[in-house]
Amino acid sequence: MSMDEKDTRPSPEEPMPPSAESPEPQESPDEAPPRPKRPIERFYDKFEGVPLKALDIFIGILIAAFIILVVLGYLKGHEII
Amino acid sequence: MKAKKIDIKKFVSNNAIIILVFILMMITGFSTKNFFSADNFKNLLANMSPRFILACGVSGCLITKGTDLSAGRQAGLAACLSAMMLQKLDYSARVLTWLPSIPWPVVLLIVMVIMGCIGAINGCVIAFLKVPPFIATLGMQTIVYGACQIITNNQPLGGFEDSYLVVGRGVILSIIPYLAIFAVIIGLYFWFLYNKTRHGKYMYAIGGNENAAQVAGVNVVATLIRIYLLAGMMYGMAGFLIGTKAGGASTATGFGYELEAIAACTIGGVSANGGVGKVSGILIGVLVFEVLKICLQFLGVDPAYTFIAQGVVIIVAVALDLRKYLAKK
Repeated sequence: MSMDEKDTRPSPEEPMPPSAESPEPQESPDEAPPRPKRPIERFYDKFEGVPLKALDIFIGILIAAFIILVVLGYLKGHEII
Repeated sequence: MKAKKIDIKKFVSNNAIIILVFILMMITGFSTKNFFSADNFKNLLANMSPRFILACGVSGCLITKGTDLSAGRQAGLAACLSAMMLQKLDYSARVLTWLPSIPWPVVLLIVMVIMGCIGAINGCVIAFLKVPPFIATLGMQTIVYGACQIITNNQPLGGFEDSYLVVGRGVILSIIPYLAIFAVIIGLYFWFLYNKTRHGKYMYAIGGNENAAQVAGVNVVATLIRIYLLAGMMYGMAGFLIGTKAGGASTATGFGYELEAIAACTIGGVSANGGVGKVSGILIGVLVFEVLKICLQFLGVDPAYTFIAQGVVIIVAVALDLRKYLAKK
């Protein structure tokens, strides 16, 4: 990186600003600085309130949908429906 | 007994797609002729090989929490460039009439270098300009597609030299396609790169925590550029192999391959959250996706339903990845 280019990444010595959503724990000097969350993590974090059981049910429904699709596609491919 | 129950549940949860496709494979194998045959196995290996190479390229981007939506179009451009340089001298529709006959290894190197340069541009845009990988590679996807249209004049390409066709259609011991040899070499190289080199360690470090990696002395910018450059070279090789396997190339070659590669990586355990991923997982993911397609083909499933089923599998893969992320939290 040249001298003229601005490094927009947070400096490791600067403390990260406190999050508006949850209080950040006090850091010790030896700990790695917290990193800003990536878009995929921010997307995944939206589901934090969703219980795992509900996610399991959703995955189960998708698998059932897959099986139904294969059966329907088979019937359609063989001109049964 | 309770601990064992939990382990089975975790195993099923982590490998739901693999189990599902395995069951489908068994049903297909026992209900259709020739599924469990040498020809079908050869066909599976031939289909898997370029996709595995492409997925290896994409995996580095995913491990560092990026993505590369230009993979498919780059492979398509590589296929078209290879086709243009390896047409028969006496072919009536030869594009580069002034070009003498070039050995196929030289053409392979040329397309890998060209695609590597495109990959390096992606890396520079992402690393220096801090453009999100999704946006940067989406833009590059469109640019590469346009370039391919200009270069080929939107004409399909064929009339390949026999030496090029042999690469895609030749077999060893009547069952192992030459394409699989390329895949094995690349797989071994990537295993070595990811597990035994500093570059691999830097890559996982960036994927785990970029700031911490930088504080620890990792040159994040250089590593990211290397990752995308290497990915570009892999797309070049994959495109070269796709062209020879198909016996032709056009601007439509490689369309959608990046989504298949990303889905295969996700199925194989390369998390979209970064920092996680193994070459064996990539291989399993590609294998599962190809077996799924072949099973649906053998069962005579209507092609439209095949596309929907593949889409559902991709969503299940992401949902399982999300579940792993939330369960860890």
